[in-house]
Amino acid sequence: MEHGQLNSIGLASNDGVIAAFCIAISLLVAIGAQHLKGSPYFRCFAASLSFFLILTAASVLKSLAPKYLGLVEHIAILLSTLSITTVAYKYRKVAKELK
Amino acid sequence: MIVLLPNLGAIILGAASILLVQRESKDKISPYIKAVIIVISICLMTIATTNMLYHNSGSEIFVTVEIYSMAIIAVLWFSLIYWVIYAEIRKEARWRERELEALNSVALAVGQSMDLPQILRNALLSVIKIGNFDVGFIYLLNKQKNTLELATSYGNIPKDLAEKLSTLHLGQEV
Repeated sequence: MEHGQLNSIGLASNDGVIAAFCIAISLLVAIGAQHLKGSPYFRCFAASLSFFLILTAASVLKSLAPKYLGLVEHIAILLSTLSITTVAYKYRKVAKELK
Repeated sequence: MIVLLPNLGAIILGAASILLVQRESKDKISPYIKAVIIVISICLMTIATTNMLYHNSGSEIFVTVEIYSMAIIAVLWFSLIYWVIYAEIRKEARWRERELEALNSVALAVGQSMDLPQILRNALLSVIKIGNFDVGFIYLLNKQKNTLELATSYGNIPKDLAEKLSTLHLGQEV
């Protein structure tokens, strides 16, 4: 990842594998989150993790197309934080109901 | 602008998340959620900040900070996933244990007597005890009249309601 980001010349031999692995886990988390019913927070946490993995994949591959993948990276971080904000909002709602 | 807006948005949202959970002192359901939200928010804010700073200055130190933040988030998330799975497995195991306990208790209660009303009474009492219910009924089907007749009951039931519930027609709403 450091190689791809710092040099912006090309990818290291395993960067493609890391990115593919991130995307695969991201999809797995998104699919697995459909079955999570234990807590009101888990789905949002899963969405956040999914976007975080997309962010990591975009960061790893950024040297391929800095402009577009950089944009994907920035949007993914925004969406990931938005999911965490949803968790925080739900947390506050539950805490208020318990009072 | 493309770099600034999403990252600035992420920083604002991260700060909002921390403020939202900071105001509430307790959540009895999930005591660790608050800590996880705060740490993940701080890490995401750090990534957004270093992203912006790296684009402006090009300094390598920001990339290093970004990588460490990513590593912390990854560890946190996987711990959370482990916690979720472990909690689900424990819940399932507890449920099965209760189910077996109930079956065992009913079987023991039924085996204690040869008298049908006594067997039904014992079975009902064990189910009431396991389920922690306030009231309970056992009905027997009268095939000739096509009705359900109250065999035994448990709990304080008003007299008029008890009379109404003594015989039920099949499909009748209670």
